Amino acid sequence: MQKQQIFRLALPLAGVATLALGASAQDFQPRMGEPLDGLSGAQLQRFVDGQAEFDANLTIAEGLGPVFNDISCGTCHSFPATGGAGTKRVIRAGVAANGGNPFDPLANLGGSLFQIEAIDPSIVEVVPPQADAVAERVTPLSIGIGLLEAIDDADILANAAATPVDPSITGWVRMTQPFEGGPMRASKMGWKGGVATALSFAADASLNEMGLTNRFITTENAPQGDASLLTIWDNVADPEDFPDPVTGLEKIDRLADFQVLSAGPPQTPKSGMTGEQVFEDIGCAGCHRSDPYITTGHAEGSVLTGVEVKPYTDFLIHDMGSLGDGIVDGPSTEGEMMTRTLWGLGLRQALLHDGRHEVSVLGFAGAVDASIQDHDGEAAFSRDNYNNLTQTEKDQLAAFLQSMGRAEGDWDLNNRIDQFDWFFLLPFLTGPDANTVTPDDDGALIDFDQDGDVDMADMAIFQRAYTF
Amino acid sequence: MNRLTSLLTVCALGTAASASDLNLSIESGGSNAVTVSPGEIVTYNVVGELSDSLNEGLALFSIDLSMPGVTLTPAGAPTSTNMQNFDSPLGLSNPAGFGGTQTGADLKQIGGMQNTLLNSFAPAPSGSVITGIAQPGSAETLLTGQVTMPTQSGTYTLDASNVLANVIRQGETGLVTWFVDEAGTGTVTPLTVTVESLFADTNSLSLSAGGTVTLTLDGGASNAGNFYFMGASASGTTPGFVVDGLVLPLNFDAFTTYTINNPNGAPYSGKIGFLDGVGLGTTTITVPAGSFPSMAGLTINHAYIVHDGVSTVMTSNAEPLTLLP
Repeated sequence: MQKQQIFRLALPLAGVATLALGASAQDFQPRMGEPLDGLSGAQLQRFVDGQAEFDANLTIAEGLGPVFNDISCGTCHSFPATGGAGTKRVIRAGVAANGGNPFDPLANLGGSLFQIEAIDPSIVEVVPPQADAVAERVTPLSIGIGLLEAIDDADILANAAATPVDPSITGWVRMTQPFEGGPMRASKMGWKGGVATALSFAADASLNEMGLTNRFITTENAPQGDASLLTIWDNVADPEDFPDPVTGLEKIDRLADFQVLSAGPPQTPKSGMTGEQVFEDIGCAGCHRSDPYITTGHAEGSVLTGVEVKPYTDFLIHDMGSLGDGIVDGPSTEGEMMTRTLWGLGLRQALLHDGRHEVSVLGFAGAVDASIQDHDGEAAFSRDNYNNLTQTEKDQLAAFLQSMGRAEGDWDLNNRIDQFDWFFLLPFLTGPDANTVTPDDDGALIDFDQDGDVDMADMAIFQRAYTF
Repeated sequence: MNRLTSLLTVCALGTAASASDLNLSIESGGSNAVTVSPGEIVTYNVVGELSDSLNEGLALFSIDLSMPGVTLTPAGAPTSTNMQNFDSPLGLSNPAGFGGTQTGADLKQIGGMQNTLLNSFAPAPSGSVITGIAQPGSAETLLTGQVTMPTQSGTYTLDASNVLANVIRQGETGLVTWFVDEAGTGTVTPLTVTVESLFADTNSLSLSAGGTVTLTLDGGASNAGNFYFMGASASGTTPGFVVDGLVLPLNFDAFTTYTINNPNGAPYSGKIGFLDGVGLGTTTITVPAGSFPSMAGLTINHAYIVHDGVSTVMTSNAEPLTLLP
């Protein structure tokens, strides 16, 4: 109902001139799934259109399948809002390197990505019995991509060139060619890198997750690698994606728009938690870089330029030892993975690339602990440092990690600001100049201006941030 | 989705949802400028009015008040139905109360917010939202306070700063909640309070006709029984001269010397003395007809000091007396 209202409101937007949000200098951070601050009317319309596309179910007539993982982006990228992470896994498999034989992705049998659904039960893919390297990959976050795109490749290259916090860290930059052309770019997405831009990501995922061929990838995935099955089941002419007669945009453009123009996850408090220092001290930041990036020139203009971004990754490919997924992806070997962004971590339901540690089972701190224990290879030293922490320090670290993705005022971490939050936050009202609220206190959740008190200045923002 | 609906509303309306400004006027007796006696208690109101009707009325306001040279005390709890809705428990204010948090001589964050949250779990806010507050044409007295003015003569300004305000978004009905937007700070008209402790019944005197001028001294009740001394100058009031750290607005000249050396010499009477039980006193200037014709055209300023036996505790304002032919 709420979304219907949004789209109805959006209709008069055509031709609207640039309008700034008009947010005050001190305001609340966008919640997950919300647009960037400062979008023009035209950009906002593209965000709304993209969000609708992200949630739209693809039909067979529109090009779904023959094999696919789900019928819309939003079906999987759904928590805590459209574009968020999820618990659905997809399957990569192949035959591990053996003797002098390299890794075999089993491409002729439909690998290395084996879609788990199909438009007819008879062509649902199965992992071939000879596959001995099988990995699940959980649905990652797909918001804030524009901010990641706008991080200068030079910053990523500098990460690789910098003296590591531990000699075991030897990350490298995976340069990749965007589908849309242009120069090679540093990878920003993909569990093992290989995707540099939102449009490339949209084109790749549209085909591999939904079976939608598009102007960049015009060839369908044959069910189980069998081209004859395509002849039978693929009855929509390729490319299946096509331009909207009014806007000229294709589905993949709209999907990219949503991801580019969505805000990155919030973080509350923004800084100063004791656990952040623990994070630094034990070497997590050696790969999960905690220094912010400052975005540089982006085609979308000022909303994505000169913005401070803290995704907590160096975007480098690291040998993770036993935490590697055993799959070879381009130049990324079996044990190598790209450092994952940690932003939004506090609202993820399943941690690590395969989502093996579920928050609903272990609790957030438990899932974090288990995930750290699984870190190996270049991260082994940091894991060992973690194991030498006191329980208090581990708790502080978990609290810091849980701040990533939390919106101000969101006491119960559901991406909403409602009276359930207020019930728990009211006791922290101090009045001005109390100077008693530290970033480690629960009161920090509502100390919007981070001045050490919870007063009417904070309440003014809280009242505006309130959802219901 | 609050932010998104806000943005879309902005675009749909073609105007900024946060375009409304809150204009403030600090008044006493309906005026932005008053003159009072030393030590007098001044009652003031802060009146708010939004700049446009693109909203459903005030949802929150918070202001700081300061009056340099004066120590403010918290404003009163609201008595109107509308404003009680901004005070805990119907509304929500800082723990120190709706009337502000005292910080040194100033007041911080006077005000509060309505229960736009539709809160029903936490103890506050618990009221039902009232719409239309402070919309154009319906200026609202946001708060009422009192300030005790000092005895020292001078001009004091009660001013507001750090104005925060939210307005209920246009079209909101409170079905699920009341979405609000930020209002800007519009105009702030301060209250100017002039403390005067010396009054003349006339400011001119004909030397040829002669006459009597009565200067009334009002040192305030706190100076009852204290010693006073009236001075005079024929050369103006600025910069004056300093007595025990206080500025007496008389430029020291020969006339000043004369009045000091001749405390109750003609044409003055009551130029020195003690203020009465309520802090009042009188100085009289009596000029016989045809006196001092050479002084025609001069303006003589008078002002006095009050001494409590230890030090000078007050200097008055100056009252001019123009000598006519």
